[in-house]
Amino acid sequence: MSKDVSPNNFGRSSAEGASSRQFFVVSISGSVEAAEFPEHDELYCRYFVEFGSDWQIISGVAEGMSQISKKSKCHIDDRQLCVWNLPVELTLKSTNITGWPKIVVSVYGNDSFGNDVVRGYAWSFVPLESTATTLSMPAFVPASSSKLQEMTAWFTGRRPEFLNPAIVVHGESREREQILFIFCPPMF
Amino acid sequence: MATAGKINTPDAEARCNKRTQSENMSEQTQEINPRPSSNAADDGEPEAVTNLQELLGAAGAVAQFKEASPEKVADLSQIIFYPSSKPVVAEEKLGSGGRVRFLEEEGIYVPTLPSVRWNMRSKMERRLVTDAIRKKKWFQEDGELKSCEEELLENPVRPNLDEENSNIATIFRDCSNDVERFIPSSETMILLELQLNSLHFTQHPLFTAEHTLAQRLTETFYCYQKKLAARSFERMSKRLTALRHAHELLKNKSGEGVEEKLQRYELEIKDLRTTTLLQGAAERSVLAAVLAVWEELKDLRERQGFVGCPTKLTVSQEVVSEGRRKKEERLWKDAVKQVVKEMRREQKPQEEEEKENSDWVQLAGKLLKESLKPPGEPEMIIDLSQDLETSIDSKSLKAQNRLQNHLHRQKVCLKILYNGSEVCQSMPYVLDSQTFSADMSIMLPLSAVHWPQNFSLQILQHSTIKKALIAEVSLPLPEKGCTREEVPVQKVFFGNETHSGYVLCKTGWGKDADGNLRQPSGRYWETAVSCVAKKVPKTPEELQMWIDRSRIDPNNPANSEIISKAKNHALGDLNSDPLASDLDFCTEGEFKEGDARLKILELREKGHPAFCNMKMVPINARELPEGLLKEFRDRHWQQSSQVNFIEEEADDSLANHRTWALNSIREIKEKIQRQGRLSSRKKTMRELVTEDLVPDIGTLGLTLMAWFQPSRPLRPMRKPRPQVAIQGSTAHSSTLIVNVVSALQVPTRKDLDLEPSNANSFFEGSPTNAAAFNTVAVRPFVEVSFKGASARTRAAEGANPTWNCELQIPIQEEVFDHDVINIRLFDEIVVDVLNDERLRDIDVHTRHEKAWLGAINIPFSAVQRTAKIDGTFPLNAQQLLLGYEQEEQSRQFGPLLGPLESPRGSANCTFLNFFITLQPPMVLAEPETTERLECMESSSVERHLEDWSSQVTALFPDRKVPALVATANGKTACLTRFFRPIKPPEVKDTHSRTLAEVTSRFVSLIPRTQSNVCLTAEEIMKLCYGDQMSNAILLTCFLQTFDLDAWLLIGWGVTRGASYFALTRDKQSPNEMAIWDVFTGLKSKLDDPFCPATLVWAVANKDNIWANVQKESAPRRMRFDFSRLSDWSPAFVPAGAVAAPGSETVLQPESIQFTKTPSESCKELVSRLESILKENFMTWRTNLRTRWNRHCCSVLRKVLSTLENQINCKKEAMRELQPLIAAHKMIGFPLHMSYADDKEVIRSLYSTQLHSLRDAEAEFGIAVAAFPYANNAVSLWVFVAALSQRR
Repeated sequence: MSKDVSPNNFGRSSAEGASSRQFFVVSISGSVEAAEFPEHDELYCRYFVEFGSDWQIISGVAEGMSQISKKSKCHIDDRQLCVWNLPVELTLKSTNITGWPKIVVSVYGNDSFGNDVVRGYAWSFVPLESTATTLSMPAFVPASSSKLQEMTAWFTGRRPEFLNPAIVVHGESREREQILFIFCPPMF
Repeated sequence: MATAGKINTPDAEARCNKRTQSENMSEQTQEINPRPSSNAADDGEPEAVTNLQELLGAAGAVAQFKEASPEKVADLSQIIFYPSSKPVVAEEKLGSGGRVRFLEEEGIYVPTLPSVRWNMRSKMERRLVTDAIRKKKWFQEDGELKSCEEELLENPVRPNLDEENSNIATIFRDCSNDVERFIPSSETMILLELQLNSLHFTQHPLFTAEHTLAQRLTETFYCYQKKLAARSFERMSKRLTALRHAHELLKNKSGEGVEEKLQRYELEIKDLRTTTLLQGAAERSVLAAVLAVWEELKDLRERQGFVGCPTKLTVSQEVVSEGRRKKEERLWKDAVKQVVKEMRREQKPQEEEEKENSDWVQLAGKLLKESLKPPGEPEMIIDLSQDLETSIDSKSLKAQNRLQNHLHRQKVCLKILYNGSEVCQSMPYVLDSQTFSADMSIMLPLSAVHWPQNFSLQILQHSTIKKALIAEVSLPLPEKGCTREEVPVQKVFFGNETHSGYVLCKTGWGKDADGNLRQPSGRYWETAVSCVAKKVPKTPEELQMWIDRSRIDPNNPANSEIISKAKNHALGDLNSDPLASDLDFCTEGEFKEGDARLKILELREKGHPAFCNMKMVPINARELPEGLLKEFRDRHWQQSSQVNFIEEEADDSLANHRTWALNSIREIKEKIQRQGRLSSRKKTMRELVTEDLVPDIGTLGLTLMAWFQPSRPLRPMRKPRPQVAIQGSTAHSSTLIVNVVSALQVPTRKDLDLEPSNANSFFEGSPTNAAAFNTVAVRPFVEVSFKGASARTRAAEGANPTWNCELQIPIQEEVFDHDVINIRLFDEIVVDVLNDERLRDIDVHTRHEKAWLGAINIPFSAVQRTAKIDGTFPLNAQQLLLGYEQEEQSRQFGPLLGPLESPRGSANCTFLNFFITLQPPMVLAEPETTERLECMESSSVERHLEDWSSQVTALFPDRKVPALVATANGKTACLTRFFRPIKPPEVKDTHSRTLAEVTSRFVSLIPRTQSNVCLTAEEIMKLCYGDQMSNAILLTCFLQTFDLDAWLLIGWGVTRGASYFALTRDKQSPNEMAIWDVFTGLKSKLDDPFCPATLVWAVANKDNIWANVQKESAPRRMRFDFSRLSDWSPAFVPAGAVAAPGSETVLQPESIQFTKTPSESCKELVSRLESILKENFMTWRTNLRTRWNRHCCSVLRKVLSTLENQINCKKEAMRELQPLIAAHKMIGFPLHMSYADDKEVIRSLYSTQLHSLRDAEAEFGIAVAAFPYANNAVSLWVFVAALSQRR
């Protein structure tokens, strides 16, 4: 999975309304380009940007969902990529470096029974450098809590999912999670 | 342009002359045209140059030269330069002083220059030579042009590849992350050889007593042997002798520093001697231990009658010969002497008193005996062997067989892992029953591609069913260049709680067929070595300590790195990562200095309740809201000075007491919130991950059927998902809509004259037009205010007005739980202020004044929770409203209200009918959950209560029943624990109230704050501050001492939100039930339509909690028979599995010691408040003078005392006021409240808007009275009045 993020403008702008409170502006522009999930096909993704309490969106949208994308076929392209090219365009203002924006991408797809299941969660900080950066984020999903449940989940098509995908960027209670499958090796 | 113009002037004139002769007249006329003024100044006469030519400039000028007269050609050559292609002489190029050098002849390298045609070069040189100044830069010393070296190569660098040549193959090489560890070719394959000799257990669950002892013997023996082999005692004694010798030698010398050196030697001798003696003692004790264990083993074997294991210790004594003995004795004596000498020397400075010589000798002898062999003692030589014959009799055989059987069942096998993956597994071995060892003799050659990172061995217990891991040990990797043959056998120890032992093995690098050693390449050794060498202390302090301790040689080049590192640290140059320092946004110092912004960030991070919800903390400290941190610090300071609030007492001042109490409660609340937040961070798996439970057959069947259904059905069935809380949708842009419908029984103006008078006064309308405005009895309007914004209706007329007016108040700010919607009823008085009577027909000049008639406060949370509030509500009853009078209720609304005899006296109440809602409805912020707190109850009770309340919630989602409440110590407890009859404070004079009423009034005087903590009676009385629930519980406890059955009623009041009341039933007449309100202290009957409790959710007392499961929840339509299970669901069923916490666990005290509130503090409060209120009152009346009527004030004060003591005091009060009213016209009213803080009093006075009176004639009177009750509870009255003299 990769994401292009180009220029991160650090600016300092003052005079917002009557109170001249200062803040800095971070604008993120890029795209969720592609993913490599060796075992799955016909995937779509949802991204959203998480940030701390000192951050505020000035313009742009913090969430988005892509189209369903088919993998590139073997005889054309060996890379077997799911290409989305989902644009991410966001400008944030903040007064504080804590809570630096993080981008969370969750990937979904249909399993063999046609159920919509989650294929991976991935996250990364929005890159700190102000040049175009390509990120590759390893994705993972929570595992079933027992073998039996795993089987049931396979049958029913309701695999374990995070109640709130934002959990992947928070440290709280992460120790409770079970083994996570890592599906996607970084490539880009 | 200008220069060109100048040059061509004479020439142009000449041409003009020529032309005028030859050309026609029309041109001439053109030429006469006057020149533009710019050039006219130059010549003074009109010039015959065409405008076009002039514009052509220099180029045009050159063209003119060509056709111009031949005498000007010389001028042309000055401008135009044709470089010739003749070569330039070298001297010319270098200028006048230049001398040509031939660099090549001088032996200096001259690169080959790119070839340029000679004539081209000459031309260029010619051009350059003309510039005398710059030509030096262009030419070299040999007169050649400076130029770059020839860059083209004659021959191609790459071989000329034939495209069709297929001999050259392309190899695709995958790029891999661990390139270093990846060894692709077979030549670099490594061969690791492992030889496993045997496995020995030193501890095993099947060990017999004999085995255990034998094992201990072996261990102690090896320990002894090791000690002997180390010969540390011997070496240390030699060192000691050497030191002593050196000391002796030094003693004889004299010189500078000798004394110092001597002292150091002495110290070292002392140290060394002690350690030597200790070492000796240890050796001797080990020997003794070996012998003792051997004795024990022998004993055991004798007792059991057979020998089970072959361990044997051979002890032989070597008798000392006479000669040697003498020698030993002499040595002994010397040693004793020496020690005595030294000890004396060391002792001297401290102790003055001399010990006897014999004492010293004795002491030294004792010391030495412990660690040295005394003379004459025979030398012990011990040896361990495993060759004892085990006995073969029936007894031993039986035991042996049993053991053997067990061991057969518990075989042992080994698994070898290379870099974490299994390489091979051995066959299972049966342990030898005598030695608990297995001979394996495994030889394992292992060829690998990857370099070894860890090489380990797993020992597994191989029983019939499963394999259990006993231990995993890492095997030693061979040194560089070591083959298996060269390496000695190593003991690798393993162990856990039950098993321990060792493996005898060796590892080495193998050789291939050609005899080459196949070991990893050099790179591996570098990393491997550096891993070992990097065990240097991490922090600079550690490093320094380590250097000091180990006394390494600073001059040794091997140590230079460490020393320089330490030096750098000492200089303050922290060897930190320069990249990491980029991310330090502030220094440590800034943090410590207490930068306000950083402090807030820190506190927010810690989750301090005051800051944890703060957003957009400003970038600069100066942009912080003023006083934010200061307030926090003040509070914090106060708290830290009063850590234990129950023990400490605030000072006498009532105001201070209240602040202290409020802070204490806030502290408790924060503590609980913090604990709750802390525990809520720990989420369970179920809260993180949605996962289906393991289904039963039915659901499985359905799922299987799903296969045969279309994968994307046209009408998909949605599976319900657990609802995720909506995040961040606290709508700030909601609007509060209040629809004020009508009012009933509004007091009418009584005194406000109908007779005309002269002054344009508020009290007395205008002379002529009085009738026009004042024929109406009252012109009431309603003003609604919320968070500083307010809206009002128009004025209606009469005592029963109808407005039907919709008021909208936008909510922009963040709304808190404690915010209140304030609805006030005013009388609009129109005052005519027209001065000029003549203009009355045309002008209208009136002023609107308002007089307060009553108010009602609705908590915002109530609106938020129910989405709408609709109904008729009584305004806060004003017993005395000067200038206004209520008409007889029975006369007007007899049929409507019925024969009401409610104690709140709805007879003289004003009612307001309104409707409040929010648009769009706001999402309710999740209330703080206390359920995650630690529970005081047993886990079964806790679970039972949780189940019970979830059952009730499932039935009636609106009814919230708190079964477990948070206590002040941050734990939750069952609600029933809070009930116990407590005697209320004694009252001398009840003033025509019943005792219960007086008690209820007393409880209502205890101020309340918002908290979800349940305080005990003792805590409330100590603080004199409570919250709604605690106060209601307190009231219930008090009421239980009277002839009443009392319960806590948990429910909903329209004007209260979720709230708590006390419910009582008279023991004598069971039908008499009443609800007591803790806010007003008033009692109301269940069937009272204006009962403050509109919905009943649950009822609790010390035995049980009953949840209301009736369909109706309005008290007047409910049955209050708690034994009916169909109406009330009890938490604890009499014969149930879980019983209520017993009476011994009640949290309430048996009785409370009430203290009398000092009347001085009340007086102090009164005088302070009076001055504060007056001051505020005057400041509110901006640019208006406020005149205080002293007489009025004193009268009002007198009235207040009658108000306090009596319920229906109107007549009496009026009697007091009669003289004042006779002389003045008055409007005014008393305000009653429990004293919480000054701000509250000021706010309620402000909301009456009496200060907005703009009448210049008006005088004011204000009186404050405070009546003390037990434990600092105060009943506070404020009477304000405006008056003007009658004429």
